[in-house]
Formats: sequence, structure tokens, C-alpha cells
Amino acid sequence: MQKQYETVFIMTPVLSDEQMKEAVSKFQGYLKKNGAEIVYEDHWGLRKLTYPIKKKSTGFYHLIEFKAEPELIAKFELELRRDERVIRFLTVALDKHAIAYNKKKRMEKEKAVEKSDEKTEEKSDKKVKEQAEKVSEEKVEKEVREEADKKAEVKADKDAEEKAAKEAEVKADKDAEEKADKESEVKADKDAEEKADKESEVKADKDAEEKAAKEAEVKADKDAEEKADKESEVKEDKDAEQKADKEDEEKADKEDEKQASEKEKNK
Amino acid sequence: MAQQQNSEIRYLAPIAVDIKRKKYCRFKKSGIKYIDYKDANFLMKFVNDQGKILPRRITGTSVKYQKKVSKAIKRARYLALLPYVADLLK
Repeated sequence: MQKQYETVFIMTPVLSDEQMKEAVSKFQGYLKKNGAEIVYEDHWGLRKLTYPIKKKSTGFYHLIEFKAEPELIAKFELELRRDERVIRFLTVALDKHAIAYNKKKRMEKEKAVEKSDEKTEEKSDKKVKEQAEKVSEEKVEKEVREEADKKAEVKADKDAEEKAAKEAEVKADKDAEEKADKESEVKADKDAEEKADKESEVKADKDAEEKAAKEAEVKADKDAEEKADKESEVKEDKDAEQKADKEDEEKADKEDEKQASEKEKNK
Repeated sequence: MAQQQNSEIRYLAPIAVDIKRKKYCRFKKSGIKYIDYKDANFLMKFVNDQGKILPRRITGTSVKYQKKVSKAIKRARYLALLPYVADLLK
């Protein structure tokens, strides 16, 4: 049962074209002699190595795709190893996907070789199509991203608005509270003033009464001689009135003190 | 006042929230079944600029194809198509 293999080998760049061709034909001959069927050959030419192999930084790459018995591979590799011109080789067994891939690639290449002009057009068409597809994909992606961004922005805006609204509410509440406090203070002040006014009025009244009483006393003194009995009664009355007035004053003072203390507490 | 302001964190600009895009395996999506070790330009996508193979968590490749990618890269390295070690590859 034959399997399909693929061998890539690198030859030293020291060789001339003829020497290289001779070496390639040698390996082809070996394979054919031992019952292998060469499917495809590709000469990549002189290629730069990504790292030096045997102090060489370039090499001739050659690829042979062939069908062979698995037993042949070891012998063929031995042959490659023995050859000093080959600095590296790799043999890989191909599975069905690899074979399909290589066939497809080969077909494309053949087309390219046969119909170079048409091919270029096709290629360009393909490229254009591919680019168009890519562009469309990119566009779609961009749109998606943009939409997402917009949504995010809108959300952020909403959040910000909500926050602002909340803050405004909070502020309004605070302001209202402050106003209420101020108003209450103002009211208290006003009340206090009113009370003070009232008290002053009361005092004034009392003063007036006292004065009246004093005057009455003076008068009473004058009248004393005349109306001693009456006077005494009157005096008693006046004294009583004065005492009452004094008591009233004291009460008023106490009330003032209480109010003052309350204000302090409020403050 | 001050306490309430501190409790609410405020941002000058809306916070950039990354929308996670679902990773996918490009081989499964586009139906690639064979990864060619000879195509160095393609394999460069799965290698960082030091020449190291990128992990699945970055490329999103499925296990099945990550194995194939790594094998292809290693073959390409053997054939000096890709470097084992590099600096400023790409």
C-alpha cells in the first residue's frame, strides 16, 4: 500500500546550477528506481535561511511530492543524509487533507502559468472581491463596535443624568431643610422680637403705672394731711399694685431667660 | 454634604467598558483542514515577534487546530522558514 509523501530538502548555495540539477535528478532517479511515483516537483530556488545552517545563510530549496511504500522512506532519507550537498531535509507523510490542499495549490499554479494574463485578471478580481468582503466584514464590525460604543455612551449619559437628578434632589432637600431652618430661626427671632416688644410694652405700661402710682403717692402725700385714712387705704392699694408690678417684671425676666436659653439650644 | 459627596464616586468622562468579543477558531470558521508548514507568511500570524508560538487563549484557535499550527510552525522552523529565536520579527 503506497502512501503519499512530501520531501523538502535544502542544498548548499555553493553549488552551480548544473551541480544542483544533477543532485535533484539523482534523488528523482533513486525514487523512480525504487518504485515510487513522483506526483509533483517544485524548485523554490535560492532562498534566505532565517538562521544559518552549517554556516550557510542561504540555500536551494527543492520539493518532491511522491507516492511510495513506507519502507522506502528510510532508505531515501539515508540517501539524502549521505549526500554532502544536502544541508537539511524533511519528509512528511501527507493525509487526505494535505493531498487535497496540495492539489488545489497546484491547480492554481498551473492556471497561473497557463493563463498568466487571464489569471492576473482573475486574481485581481478575486483580490478585489476578497478585499470587498474584508472591507464589508470590517465595516460590519465597525458598525457593531460603533453601536456598542453609542449604547455605552447613551448609558453613561443616562447614568450621569440620573446622578445629576439625584444630586439635584438631594440638594433641593438640603436647601429646603436649610430654608426651613432659617425660616424657623427667623420665626423664632420674630417671635422673640414680638415678645420683647410686648414685654417692653408691658414694661412701659408698668412704668406708667408706677409713675402713676408715684404721682399718686406724691399726690397722696399732699393729700395725706387731708385724707389720712383714705390715703392709707390708697397706699395699701398702691403698695399692692407695686408688688404685683414687681412680680410681673420678675416673671417677664424669667421668661426672657428661658427664651434665650432655648435660642441657644436651637442654634 | 461633604460625606455624601465622598460616598458617590464621580467620573469626569464615562468609563470605557470593553465589550468582550467572542473569540473563534479561524480554521473551523473558514473550513481550513490542512495547515501548510511551507507557508511561512501565514504561520507568522501564530507567532509573536520573538518567534514564539502564540497560545490558544490569544488566538482563539481550537485544540485540534492549535496542535496542527504548532506542528506546522515547528516544521517550518526546522526548514529555516521560521526562526527558532528572533528579535523584532514582523
